[in-house]
Amino acid sequence: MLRLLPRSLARRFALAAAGLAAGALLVTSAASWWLIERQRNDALAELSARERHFHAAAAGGQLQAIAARMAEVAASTILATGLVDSAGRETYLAPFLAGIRQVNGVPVHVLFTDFEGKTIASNGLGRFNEAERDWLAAQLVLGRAGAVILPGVQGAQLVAMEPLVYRRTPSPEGALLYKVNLADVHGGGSMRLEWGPEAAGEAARAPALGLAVPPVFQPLQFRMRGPFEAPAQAIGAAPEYVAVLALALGLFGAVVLAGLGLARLLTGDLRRLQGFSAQVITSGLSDERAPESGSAEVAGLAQSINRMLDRLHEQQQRKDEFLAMLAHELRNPLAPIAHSLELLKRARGDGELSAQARATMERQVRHLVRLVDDLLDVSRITRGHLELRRSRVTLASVLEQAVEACRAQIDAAGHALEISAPPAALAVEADPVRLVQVVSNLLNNAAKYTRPGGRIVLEACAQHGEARIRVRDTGMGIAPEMLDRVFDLFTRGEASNDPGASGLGIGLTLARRLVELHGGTLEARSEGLGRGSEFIVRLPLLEAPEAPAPLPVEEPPRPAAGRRVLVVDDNRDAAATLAALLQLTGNQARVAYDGAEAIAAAAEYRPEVVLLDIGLPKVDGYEVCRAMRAQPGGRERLIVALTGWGQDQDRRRSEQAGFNAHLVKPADYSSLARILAASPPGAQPTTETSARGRASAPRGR
Amino acid sequence: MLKPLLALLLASLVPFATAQVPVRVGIDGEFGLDNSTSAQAVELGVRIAATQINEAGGVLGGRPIEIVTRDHRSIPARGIRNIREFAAMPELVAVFGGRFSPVVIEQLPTLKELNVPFLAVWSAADVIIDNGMKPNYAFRLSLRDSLAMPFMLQEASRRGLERVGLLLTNTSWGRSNQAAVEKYSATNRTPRVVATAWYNWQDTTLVHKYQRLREAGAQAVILVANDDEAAVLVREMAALPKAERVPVISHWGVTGGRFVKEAGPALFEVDFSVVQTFSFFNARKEPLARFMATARRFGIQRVEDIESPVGVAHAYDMMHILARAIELAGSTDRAAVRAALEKVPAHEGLVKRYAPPFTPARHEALGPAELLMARYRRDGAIVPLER
Repeated sequence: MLRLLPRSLARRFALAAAGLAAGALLVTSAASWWLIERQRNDALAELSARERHFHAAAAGGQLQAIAARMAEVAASTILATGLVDSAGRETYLAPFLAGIRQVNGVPVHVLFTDFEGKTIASNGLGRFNEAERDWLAAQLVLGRAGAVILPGVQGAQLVAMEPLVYRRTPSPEGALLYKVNLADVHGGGSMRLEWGPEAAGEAARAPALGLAVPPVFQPLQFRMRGPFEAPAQAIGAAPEYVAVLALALGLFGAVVLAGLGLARLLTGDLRRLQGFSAQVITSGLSDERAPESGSAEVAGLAQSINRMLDRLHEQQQRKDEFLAMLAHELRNPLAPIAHSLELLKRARGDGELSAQARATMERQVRHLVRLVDDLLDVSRITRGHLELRRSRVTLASVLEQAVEACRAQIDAAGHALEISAPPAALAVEADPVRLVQVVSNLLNNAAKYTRPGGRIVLEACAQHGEARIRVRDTGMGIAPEMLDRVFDLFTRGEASNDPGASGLGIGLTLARRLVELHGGTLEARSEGLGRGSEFIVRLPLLEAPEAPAPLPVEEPPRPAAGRRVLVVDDNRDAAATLAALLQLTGNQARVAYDGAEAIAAAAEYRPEVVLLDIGLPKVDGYEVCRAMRAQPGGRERLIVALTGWGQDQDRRRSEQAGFNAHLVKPADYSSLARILAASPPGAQPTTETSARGRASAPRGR
Repeated sequence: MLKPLLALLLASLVPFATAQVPVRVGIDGEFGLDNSTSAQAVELGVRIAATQINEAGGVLGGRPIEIVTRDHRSIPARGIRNIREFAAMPELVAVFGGRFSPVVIEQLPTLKELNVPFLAVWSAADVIIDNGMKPNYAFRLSLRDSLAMPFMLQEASRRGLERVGLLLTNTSWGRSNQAAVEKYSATNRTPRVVATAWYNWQDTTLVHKYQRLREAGAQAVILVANDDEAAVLVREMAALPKAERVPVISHWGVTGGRFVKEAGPALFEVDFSVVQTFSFFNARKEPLARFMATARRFGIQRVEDIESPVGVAHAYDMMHILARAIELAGSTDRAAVRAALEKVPAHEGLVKRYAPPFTPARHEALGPAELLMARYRRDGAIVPLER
């Protein structure tokens, strides 16, 4: 449906406007049509009713006139005389009756009879048949006026009788019998005179109106029915629908054109904005900004686009800086490592020199690892993938571990560290590893941005229901305008006293995000450049202290020796160095560089332990693991995932694939050694071992 | 089919039942006309006479007279039907008629056709007797217009009323009287008829016609009407100023109904006199005593109790004459009875001594000698005017 719409918004508007206009026009036309039709029908009905009324009145009037005239004749003394005096009847009675041959234009047959219905005289229009005479005789017995419809030669006839009453006798002494052809009574046009009980369904054909007739005719139920065809011609032809249609079409066209122009006019600013956006895309980011004019919506949109451009610009700048810094930071440890390697090569036999070189390499590698770990953590937090493993943690233990981690650096810089130990019961609900990370970051920063021989204060306390950890230094401080920005990613101190030890500007970002994940805040304070800085961590305090959980005691790695280990990694150096390390610690080791080779090697070599990279070419680690499990003795094998993917879903996936443990690269050897040690040769690794391996694996400080 | 059977049945009964078979006498009258008393008067007269006859042993060797009545309500068509019914009745010898001449006149062709002896004891139109029938089956013991009208006109003259107006009913009876007036005027100068007005049956007002006669100079009005129309006129006249009320000399049709009651007190505001043939107040003692002896059994204590007295008296006398004619005929054969009526010798009646009642040339039993004028008394009795 939407595909049918034109791509241009202006045209869509025009089309919508035209559609709406057409709809409105259609509705209006239909409504007018309906109204006109209704009024026309009403008028027709009214006309019909009037016509019916007119004819009913005319016919009723005729019947009334007939009845009245006949009653008058019946009451005349001439007829009365005729009853008692036959002499001269021919001379006065016949002429009198012959004078009433018609009433209001309707021919009337009149017969004057005696009390038994025997003829005395008539008006000579025609005779009355047997049936009519019989009816008269019966009516005379009843002794009152009456009327009946009887069939006649020329159709139905209204036959009626008016008695001649003598006030001194109890019953009629004569009668005036008369009849009219009902066809002679006014009908007219499409109207029909009806009588008697109404036939079923008659009313549906055409409406009827009862006639106002004298009482003598009332039992006959005269009514006028019609019209049977609509008097359409009576009020002219139907409205000129063609003209109406043409007018409607013309209007429609005008509305479409007007809609097009209007839409073009209204979407002008939007199209300008669109042009600007297209230009930005083709010619890249520049200092040019969209004009913030036009309608409120478009101006708002332009404003948003400009803000986005600003931010994009800024982020690009920062990213550029970061990349430069990252390169610098990554290269920094490489120089001492390269030198130390050179030193190791040349200082054969010189144990002290070798030890010094190894120590340097170890330090630099640890630094590199921490750098990468921090980067990964920031990435996880930013993407919302970091999960906290909360438990009850005493601040004392946190401080202790953090100090332990940073002690070397602080001591190296010759700083004096003052620790104000918190009450032992002061505890928070937190991930201990992350909290230690926060505090050590802060301590690290303090050490980094304080001239050697400075003073660093670490304290923790409970205040206003919060747990507070403060790290204060006598360092270079923070300029007031920088206070807000120190927590931004890739922001770092301008002038560090130790360029070599400087970071990527992610430590504080990470620290603040971690604190916030714990529901707390991290605040930076400084009285200005050169006047030291203070960082305050606030965390929700756990009110009811429990017995402090025993600090996890790191089990010293037991010697893990005598195993047959298969190392699978497409990074040949990584595989080779790990295999060499395993062999150095008394194990047998073999390497494979892809999945298929690994499966084949496992079948042939039958290793007790497989250290399996997941991201392998061709066949991935999960498949390899399943294949190995399917091999003879495969179920008892210890298979450890060794991968750069450390998310929970990755862990679940590896567990489902049949891995016993999951280590995130770069895994330090102690973690690996713990897993190997926990799984004695030939025995299944316990779940506990697996869990512990998982817990400790990602971190390597 | 039925008639011969019936005749056979009757014939078979003769040897032992003849004495009981009644001789029938019909009365065709206006019994059903409201406020009319004439038919009832005729019946009373016939019944009193029949009672006397039957008590004296009946006729034809002990056969009782049986009276059969039929009502014509004053409507000719009904009267004609009645005549046909009477004609069909076995052992019916004659039919008494009622007050209304038009009814009888309309019946004449039927009577002529069926040969039923007809006894007119009230109706006065000349043509009832002068009907052209040969032999004539009609007999009258009553007033005759050609006698009554001259008498009434002379009454006006006697009272010094020289100019009279005629107010006549537009029927054969009215025309019968007009003919009588014309006949009288041809030979008499006074009173002079200044105008004639006709009213129709069932007219509801007569005052305009009355006024027209008066405006034409009439000092008296000769009225030919029945009780109801006369009552209308009297009431309307009474509503006029006294100066506009002229004497009314009326034919006797008014006495055939409850005229006094209908006219009310107005009757005594108007000078109203009526022609009669007989008055019980003038009756001869012996026949009256004989009559009253039987009449008491019919609720008549005094002569004042008799409504429409002429009808009663005429019918009474006629019934006795008929009985004698039956005896004379010796059978119930209608032709024989008719012929016998012309042969009844002198009869001592209530009205007068008939000697004889009828002859083949004269079917009128009464003559000018019997006529008199009368007035209504406050109690409704009709009393003769003092001469």
